[in-house]
Amino acid sequence: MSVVDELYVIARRVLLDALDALGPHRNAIVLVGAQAVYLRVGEADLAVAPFTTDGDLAIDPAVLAEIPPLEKALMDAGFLPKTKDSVGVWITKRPTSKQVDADVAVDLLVPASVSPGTGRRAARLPGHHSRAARIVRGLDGAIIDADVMRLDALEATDPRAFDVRVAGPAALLVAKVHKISERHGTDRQTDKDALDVLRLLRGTETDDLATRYVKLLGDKRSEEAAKSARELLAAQFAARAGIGVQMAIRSAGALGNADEIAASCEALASDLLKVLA
Amino acid sequence: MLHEMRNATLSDNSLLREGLRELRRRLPPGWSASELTSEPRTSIALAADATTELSAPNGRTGTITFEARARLDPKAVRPLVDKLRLSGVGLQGAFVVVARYLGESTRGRLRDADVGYLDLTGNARIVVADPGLFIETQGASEDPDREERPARSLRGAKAGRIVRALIDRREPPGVRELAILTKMNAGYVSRVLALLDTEALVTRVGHGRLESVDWPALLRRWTQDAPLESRGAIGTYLEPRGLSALVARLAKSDERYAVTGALAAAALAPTAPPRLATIWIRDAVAAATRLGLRPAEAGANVMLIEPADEEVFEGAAQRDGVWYAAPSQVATDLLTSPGRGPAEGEELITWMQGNEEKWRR
Repeated sequence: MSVVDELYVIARRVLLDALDALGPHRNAIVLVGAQAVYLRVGEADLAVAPFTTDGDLAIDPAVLAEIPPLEKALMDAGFLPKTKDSVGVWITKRPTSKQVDADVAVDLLVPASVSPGTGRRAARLPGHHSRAARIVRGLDGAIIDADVMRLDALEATDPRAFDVRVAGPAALLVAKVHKISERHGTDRQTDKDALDVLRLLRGTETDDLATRYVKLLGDKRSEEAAKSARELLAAQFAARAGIGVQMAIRSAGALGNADEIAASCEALASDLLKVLA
Repeated sequence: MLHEMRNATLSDNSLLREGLRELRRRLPPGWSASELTSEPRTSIALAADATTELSAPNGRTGTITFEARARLDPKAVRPLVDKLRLSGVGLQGAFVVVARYLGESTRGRLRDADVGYLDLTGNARIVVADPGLFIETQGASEDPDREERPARSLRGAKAGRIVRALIDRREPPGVRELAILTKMNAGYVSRVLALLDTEALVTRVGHGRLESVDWPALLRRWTQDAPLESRGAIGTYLEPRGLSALVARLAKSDERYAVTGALAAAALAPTAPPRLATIWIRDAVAAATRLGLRPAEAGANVMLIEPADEEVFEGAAQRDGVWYAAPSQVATDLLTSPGRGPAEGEELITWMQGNEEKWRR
């Protein structure tokens, strides 16, 4: 990105605020979602806004301490629950140059296979507010395929930098195809998720991606999600008619070449599936 | 005396005069040849143009009959010989065809028929029985006058080299220099320049010295005559990881290649993000495999072109480890590229006009 959009700068600043606030818990946190995709693989020649302003943080309950409570740490740093019913969505308002305050969200997410709460949404982490974090399916790989990376600000005036675990491309891929599948046909479907899958496929050598994926298949916590994600990847991306391919084409819009995107999805998804077969 | 000659055009007359000069230059010491005289026709069938009287050192004399021909094709030799036989002229071999140039095959046939010849490039065979004279010399093997015929188009690798050399140089080179630069023969260079002159793409002064080159017009004209597909074999491929991944791999490659098209233009003038990588490369199929490209039609984002001529690599420059073709090459390639190519080519030409010092040598 040559010119960094102001909203990206603010989103990164807020993410750093949240990591700062969650300091004592940082070893239990893994950065996931679009910001992690961008850190891992960049834009990958897809000239479409590479991430939204949300920061998604996965929590490993096995590592998470009970003190301080997540809600207290975040509220002390100026975050509030998005609504009184929301689960795991923390909002903070930041001024922009256009004199309109931007709402920036940080989501706390717990992989379904390791969540103490077994209901539909609330993760119910012991010692923390029941609605502090929410359960997400398909995210399980994030606590297995992750590496520590340095996360710094996108503005020169902010000297902060944190070493934080960032989900690896295989974990992110598994999470994305689950998300696409779960949200398909609902009003929460976002085409951008498919473009993130293509970015991950483009930006990671097939061998590296496969090695990481095999790790997910071999770990009880992520095995199920990884197995089903293989089927989902084949259906969504390994054929031109797949919903993932179609979403990626729509997301790239007029800036992209539909045939090139389709052919690239097919080729790279098939390459990976071939190695994993 | 020339004015007395019958049935000879002015150019025939000058040809005969030059023929006589050539003959005199070749005579052994002590021999001489008189001024030309025209003779009454010995036969209506033959237009023998003039004769000269030959004198040997021993005092003996003989006659050589000249016939001027603007040209003499091999197939015209037989009828000429038949006419000679009929007329009874020059049966002693003292009949000589004079022309500006006689091709090898024509000379062979004249030799076989025992007819003498002499051309102004120095090819000669003259046999006189009495006084005994034998002259045989070798001149040009190609018609030098071909140079004066303009080339018909700028299609083809040879013309392309000359065009590139003219566009890329701030000081217009001379014919000889162009011939050396492009490894072309001077005759061909002259013919191409003659075409460019007729089309007002270059201006010449004095004895054909190049004064200036209208390079944007020349570039467009070249593009018309030699579109991209005529200059190499094109294969289309997919780099599923995108063009940046390809560029990174090219930077590490030791292939002989030159990136052209939008990707190369973007490195010079600001343009929209390139969607298509166009690369001149030897042995495209093998290179595609090494670069991890997959053959593709729909959705291809890479064009590999095997050049018909190595000229495409001329003036290529390396930036950030990647070889880019010279701007003039990039512009002409873009003008006949698919998609946004032509518009990008025009943008590049505009940049080139404003930045001549950056690319003209």
